[in-house]
Amino acid sequence: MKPIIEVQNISKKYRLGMIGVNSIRELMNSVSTSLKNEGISGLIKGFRREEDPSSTLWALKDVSFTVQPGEIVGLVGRNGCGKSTLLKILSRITFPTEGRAVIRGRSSALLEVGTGFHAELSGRENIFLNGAILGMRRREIEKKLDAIIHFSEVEQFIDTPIKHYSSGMYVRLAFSVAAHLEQPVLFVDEVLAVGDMAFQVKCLEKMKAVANSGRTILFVSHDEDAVQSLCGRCVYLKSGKVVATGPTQEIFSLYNSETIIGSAA
Amino acid sequence: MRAYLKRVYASRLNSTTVIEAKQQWFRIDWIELWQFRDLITLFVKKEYISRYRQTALGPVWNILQPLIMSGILTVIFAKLGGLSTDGVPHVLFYLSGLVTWGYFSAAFIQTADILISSAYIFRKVYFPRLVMPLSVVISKSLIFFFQFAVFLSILLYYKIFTPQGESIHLSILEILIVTPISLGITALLSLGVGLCFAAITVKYRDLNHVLQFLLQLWFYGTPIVYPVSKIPEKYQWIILFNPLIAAIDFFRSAFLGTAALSPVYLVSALVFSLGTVFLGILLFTKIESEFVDVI
Repeated sequence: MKPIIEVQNISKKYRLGMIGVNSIRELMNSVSTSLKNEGISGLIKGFRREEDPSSTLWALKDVSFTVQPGEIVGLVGRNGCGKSTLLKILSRITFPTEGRAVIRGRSSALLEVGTGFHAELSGRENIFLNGAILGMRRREIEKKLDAIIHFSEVEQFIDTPIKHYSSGMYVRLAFSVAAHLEQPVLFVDEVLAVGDMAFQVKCLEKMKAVANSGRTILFVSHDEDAVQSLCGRCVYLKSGKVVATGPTQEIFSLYNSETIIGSAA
Repeated sequence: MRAYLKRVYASRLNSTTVIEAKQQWFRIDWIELWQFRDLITLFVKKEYISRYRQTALGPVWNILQPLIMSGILTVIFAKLGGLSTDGVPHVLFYLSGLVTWGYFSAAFIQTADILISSAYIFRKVYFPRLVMPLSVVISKSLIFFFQFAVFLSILLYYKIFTPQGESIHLSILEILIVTPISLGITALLSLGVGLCFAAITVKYRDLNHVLQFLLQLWFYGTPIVYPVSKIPEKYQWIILFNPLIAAIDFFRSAFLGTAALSPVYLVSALVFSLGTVFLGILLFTKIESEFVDVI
């Protein structure tokens, strides 16, 4: 069987500091100095100038791995290791600088809940808008509408503009839409559990149900318990590189030993 | 047609997405855009609801706005300035230009800002970015039809109930041909120029400031408060570079019977607008691959 997600040598470079031209004077200065020094050819060279390596950052370097259909894979690593960047590339929010990835199936990304929620719209209207933003068709949303409303526990206020919602109601509704996505491939970033304790438990149960429904999920979280209970396999990233891939248990023992040594030193 | 689209859609359901570093220069995934048509509808609806909820008059503002504006123009340009309106009642003359201009400027302003104002969504989720500008141009066209209806009712009032009505010559055939073309030119131009501005504004925010002056200049460079016949002969070439001149002039001539330019100008305006859309999409698709990292 072909892997459903194939990541091949993906690298991503960011430029540090201020980006773009900050003022006309700066632009003029750089144009005039290169003109003075080297003429027209200098001007052209100036625009294609090799970047100063100290002002660039490789957030990801040569990352490769594959995910089989139905697998729940965790992406683990410390802050700034490139987990979120990788998720952004796979969900097509940003592009890789090098490499390629193949996703064999419809996918959706959950980098936050409630993207595109509009305060003036009612809960119901926001379900449709948010669902469509996440790639659901109108008919799919209609089919799931009752389930979404029921899960969110805001039935009573579903036709009230959400600007009148409490923050708890807001995130419950937002999570509820996300939890009812139907795409076979999901990229999930730290949006596992929201709301009060009771609702968080409900969220985790729902995520487990989603995970057991045969979908493929690539999952980023700092919550070790959540990753251990959901993911069969993990990819360990460190400074933008894949350090190890393997069963969750093994990866975590490696990860924990390294971070403890790292913080002791 | 529907069956074909269904088949294409079904095949796309199990589709394969390839993510690569290099993006093609002019790449629009029409099928993908079609799949997101529900989202376009919802954005249009959102725009409409969020604009009028908690306003006492609601959509009536759409009607009042050009009326008040043409009242102001009548006082300043017709009464004080004594500017000719080709023998047409002032209000009708100004309204005929204002409905088109209003559509253009509203769609242009919002499209030009679209990458920055929607960055918070684009940073978190992927959908074809063109969905946003398209929904802007569509939602503003709904407002256009509102105002168009107002213009029509005032036109009919003048035609039937006032002595000036006799000088107004409605040409039904012309109206049926010209209205869609003129609306098309306006929609395409606002999309095209808007996309160009949106793309460039990502790197040079200066354009935000330029926009206001440009719009003002554009307003007076378009025959809204004066007839096209007032454009001096040696400046006639400007008609080629401002498609709105032809769009408004032909619109006016179809409904009010004023003298019209040569039809060549209408065709050239359409071609020019299509050109701006092509350029706009080119710049927009170029910038969309990197703007999330820049903004």
